[in-house]
Amino acid sequence: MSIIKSVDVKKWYGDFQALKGISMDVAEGEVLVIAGPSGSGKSTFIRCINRLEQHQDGQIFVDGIELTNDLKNIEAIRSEVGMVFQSFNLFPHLTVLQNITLAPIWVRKKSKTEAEEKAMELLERVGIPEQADKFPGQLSGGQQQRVAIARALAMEPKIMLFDEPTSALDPEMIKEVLDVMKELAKSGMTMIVVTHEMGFAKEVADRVMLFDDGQLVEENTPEEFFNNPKSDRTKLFLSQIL
Amino acid sequence: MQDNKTLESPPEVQFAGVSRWLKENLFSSLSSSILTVLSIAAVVSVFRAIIGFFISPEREWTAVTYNLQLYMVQAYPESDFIRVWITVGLLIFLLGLSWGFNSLKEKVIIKEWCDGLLKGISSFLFIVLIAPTSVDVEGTTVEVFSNNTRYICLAVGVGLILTVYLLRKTYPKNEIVRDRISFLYLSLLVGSIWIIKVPTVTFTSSNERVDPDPFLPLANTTTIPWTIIFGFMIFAYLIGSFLKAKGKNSMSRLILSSWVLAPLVIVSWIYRKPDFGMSNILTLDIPIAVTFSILGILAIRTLNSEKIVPYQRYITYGMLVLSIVIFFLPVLRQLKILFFITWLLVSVAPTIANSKESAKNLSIVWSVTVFILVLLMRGASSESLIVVPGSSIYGGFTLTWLIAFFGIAISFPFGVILALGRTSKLPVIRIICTAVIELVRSVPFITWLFFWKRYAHTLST
Amino acid sequence: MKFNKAFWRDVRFLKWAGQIAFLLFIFNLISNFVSQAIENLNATNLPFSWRFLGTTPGVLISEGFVTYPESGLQALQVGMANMLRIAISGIFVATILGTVIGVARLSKNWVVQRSSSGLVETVRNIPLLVQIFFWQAVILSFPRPEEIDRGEMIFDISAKGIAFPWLDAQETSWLFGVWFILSFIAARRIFKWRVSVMESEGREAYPGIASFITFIAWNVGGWFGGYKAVGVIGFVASLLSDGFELLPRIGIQSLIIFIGFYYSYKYISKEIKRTRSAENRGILTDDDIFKIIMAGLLVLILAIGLFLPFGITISDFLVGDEPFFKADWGIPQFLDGVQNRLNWELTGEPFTLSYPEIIQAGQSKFSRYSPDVGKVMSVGYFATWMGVIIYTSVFISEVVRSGIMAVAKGQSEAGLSLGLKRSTLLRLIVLPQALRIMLPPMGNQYLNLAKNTSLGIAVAFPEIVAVGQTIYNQEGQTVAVFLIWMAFYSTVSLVLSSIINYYNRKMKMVER
Ligand SMILES: Nc1ncnc2c1ncn2[C@@H]1O[C@H](COP(=O)(O)OP(=O)(O)OP(=O)(O)O)[C@@H](O)[C@H]1O
Ligand SMILES: [Mg+2]
Repeated sequence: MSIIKSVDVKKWYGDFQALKGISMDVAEGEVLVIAGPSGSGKSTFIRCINRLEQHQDGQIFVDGIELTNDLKNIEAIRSEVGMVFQSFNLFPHLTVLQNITLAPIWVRKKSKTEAEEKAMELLERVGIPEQADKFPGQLSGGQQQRVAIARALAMEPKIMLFDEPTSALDPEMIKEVLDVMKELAKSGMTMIVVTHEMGFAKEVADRVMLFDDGQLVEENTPEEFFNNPKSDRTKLFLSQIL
Repeated sequence: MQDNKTLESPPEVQFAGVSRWLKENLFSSLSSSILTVLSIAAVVSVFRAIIGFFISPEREWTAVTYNLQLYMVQAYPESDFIRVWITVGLLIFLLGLSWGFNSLKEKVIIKEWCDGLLKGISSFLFIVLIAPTSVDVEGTTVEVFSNNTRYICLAVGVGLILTVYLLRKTYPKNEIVRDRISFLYLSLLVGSIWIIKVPTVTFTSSNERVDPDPFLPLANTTTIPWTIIFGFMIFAYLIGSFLKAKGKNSMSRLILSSWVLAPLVIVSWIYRKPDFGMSNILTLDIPIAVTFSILGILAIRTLNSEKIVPYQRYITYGMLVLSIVIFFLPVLRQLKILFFITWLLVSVAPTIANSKESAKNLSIVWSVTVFILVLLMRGASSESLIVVPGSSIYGGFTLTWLIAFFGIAISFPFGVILALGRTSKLPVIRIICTAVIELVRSVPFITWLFFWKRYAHTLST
Repeated sequence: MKFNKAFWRDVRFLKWAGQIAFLLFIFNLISNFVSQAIENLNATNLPFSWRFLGTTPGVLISEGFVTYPESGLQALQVGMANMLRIAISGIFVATILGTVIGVARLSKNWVVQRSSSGLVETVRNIPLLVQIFFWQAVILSFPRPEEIDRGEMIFDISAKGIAFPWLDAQETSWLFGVWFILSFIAARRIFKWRVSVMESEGREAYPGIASFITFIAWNVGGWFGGYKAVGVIGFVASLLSDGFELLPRIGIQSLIIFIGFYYSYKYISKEIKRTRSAENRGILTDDDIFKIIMAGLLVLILAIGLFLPFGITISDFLVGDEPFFKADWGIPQFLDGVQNRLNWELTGEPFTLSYPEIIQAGQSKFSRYSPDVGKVMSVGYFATWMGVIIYTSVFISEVVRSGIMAVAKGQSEAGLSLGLKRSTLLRLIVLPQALRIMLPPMGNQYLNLAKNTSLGIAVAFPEIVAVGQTIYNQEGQTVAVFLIWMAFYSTVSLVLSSIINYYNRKMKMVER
């Protein structure tokens, strides 16, 4: 059963059409990598999935619920879908621990102690338990992104969205974040990852998609995608990026 | 593939664009709709009240038009008004020149210009629509804006909208230079002063005020000068554009110095009508100016000769001491100032005039400066021939811009000095500057006004 | 510190010589200014003195807690109180209004957003003085109060001002007032407690409702006699006042000097300790030396000054012996006032409600509002108040708007993607960050508001500048009045900026 399903999704910014009819679905536990040139609408699409952007035509279903203007639906879906941003977006005025426990306490209504226990567990998992009481500004980029992943996981989401999680990082830090993501993928989390890290796609993706100019150009298994792409556009893209 | 890429516009724009816009921006939710209704009600009633307040006969706007001259120049004698007009003309000439010279000749798409116009006319229509017909004056209702006038205004507005709309349709892609639009507006303005009639305070032969005030055209003493000045402005604009087109970039410095000079000339010569006496100029000012310009040119020449170079510093210090000494001696004020700027010249000449070419340029600048300074000082120190009741010949709007100009000119360097002082590493200077800044800014402006007034008063008694 | 042989080429020597020369120059400048003024004042038979503070000025002040002041000091106090009335209420109202306008400018609703931006653009481009005149004209365009006797009214606007019901303070109002202030602290405590319960036990604990109920209950209890508990403060004040009466002048002088020496000693030793720290390696910079010398010098000046005539009068003033001008106004008198007002033997309701009324006054029987019942907002007060509030709130709205906009968009997106509700997001993520950005410019606006109240003089509102001007026109003591103005406004701005700085520092610490 597919956990995310989109049907002919279209999206405009003013007169500019950013998504020109995207139809796809993602099965539970699947890891999907989305690649594509800059400005092709990758971010726009995954931001539509938790309604940080509003699509104007077509339908999106997440976990069987359709995304409409109904606030209850939106909040329900958002707490099931975790998101990790390119620029981390940690809350600078809160400590790492507070960053992670904020949503469990205020949305899930967990007790503070319970939330903190869970948070320490997650920090352990992303490898930085000793940073719990620091402020985001005192951490390195890689550490910040791992905190951001922990923060999203603290809500125990069914789906994780990653929007270029490593492209603001130095090469040494990329690895530490990718390792966390690989571990997460192995644990059976449903993930949609927008990334230019083709190594990651080869290693963990179940499926790879190529976006171009607001359209879904190719959808394939990683082996086929890299070795035997269907469309010329993919060949061109791969020749540029590899 | 290619076919799919054909641009598809958002589904909403294809049909019912307006209702979609309304829904998104005004009625997106219940609370938003309530807010919309409430704020429209508030805006309309506030506008109605304000418009009613301003057009109520209780406001006596004729008092403003009647006293306009007072507002502008206060008691400046009418016989010398040509000086005021020369002042205005000079400034507007400079304005036109700088405008023509610096204009980027930006182009506007006619469609966009029309959109702006449409917005403006719609606001006008909105105001016409909601303006109250009558207001309450001490318990009685007085009609201030008859429905007939309203209909005429509406018809004019709608006519304008149609015209602009047609224009927009006919030339959707054409462009027009923005300056031309500005000149169009200005000429409409200048044209209108020949046409409009305003309620004017008039008196019968037996010196009784005519009631109600009759609508009369503006006086020729207003319309003619403004028209001429507008002509000058266009002329100056054309000159400026021409110079720019010829690539005379050195003109920009000239224009800038004219801007600095103009207020000084206005204050010392034009506005004051100085009683200078030709003999004073011939026997005193010209010789002084000639002497100093020769002295300066000599200084420029010799300072860079090899023999003098090691002693440059001592000459500069000597000049500084000399000018300070002269400052405290009972000599002509002209001399005091000239010695100071000679010191300035001596201290900058070695670095500026390091080649033949630049030495020549500096000499010219120096001579011109000396002559202008001497003449300005002559104007400023002569008796003024303008006689006004009260103390100052500057009044009204004239005084406003004078204070603004000289205030900015003086306070800016002073502020920079204070700011530098506050960040200084030397504690005494830092503390004094901080104290001055904090003390001055924590006390309201009006108390400083009283303070300096009373202080000047105390000194003068 | 070893100087070169040619000490006049030594940078350190030049630096200090230059500074001392500059200091002398400034002193010379100021003393020239002052002596010239004093000389001229002496020549006009009006030598500088503070005596007018104690004598009856014989002026009528159109509104305030006293209208026929007994002394110059009291007249100026009325002015200060009037200024503070506008400034304090203005700061509150302008903050609320400004926040509303600022948020409205960020609204997605087109009409709301456009009309608020229109308002901001208009108001901030018109000089405040013009706006004050506008509000004056607005209220003067209302009809004069009607002559017919209408008895008690709820609310009335006329060319004489705005009249509305008012709570008239009774004897026990001071007790209740303190009790009321305490109620905020109590409500805050309850709020924090409920929040902590909520966080630790993970259940809804209704902090808002709980604190509101506390607030209401506390004040209702206070109204019916609970305020008597505040009498303890009055009792302590009476003890202190007794103690002060026993204290001779030399006692307070020694006390002040002792405190001064103690703090300067603490300061100097702290400075020296700091320079001995690892990173400074015991090197005293010019600045450090200067600070140490200044700290020492200041207490010395204080110690000597306390035994000079001016210092003696101040000490007299502090022990309440014989103030330097004839006025019943020293620390013991202040304590006595506290004791009398916060006395637990007082009984009765703290406030009673009264309604405005129109009376026929004067020989020619013109109608006006009764000054004794209800409350009348005079034309001058209204014009100044409205002008200052509208003008400042527009600037505050810009501060609020830019503060909220300066919190990066990513912050709300991150919050939303975690499933936070918009209100929670605003309260926990956006506002704490925006507030930190807004605070310093907000303080500036408050300062401007406080200063701008002085324009009330244009509509005959008797605030401190207007009263001061009346006084010096009558008594000729211009310099003294200017000094009082400066002292007053500097104090106000100092208090304002220390409050702002306190919060600024408090918020900063949350971050790092
Ligand atoms: N808020 C917006 N307003 C207008 N246009 C936008 C907005 N956000 C995105 N766009 C446009 O939509 C298109 C798709 O943007 P999107 O951010 O989805 O690209 P992307 O595939 O994520 O690119 P990148 O790899 O650079 O992140 C771009 O052309 C962009 O200019
Ligand atoms: Mg992107």
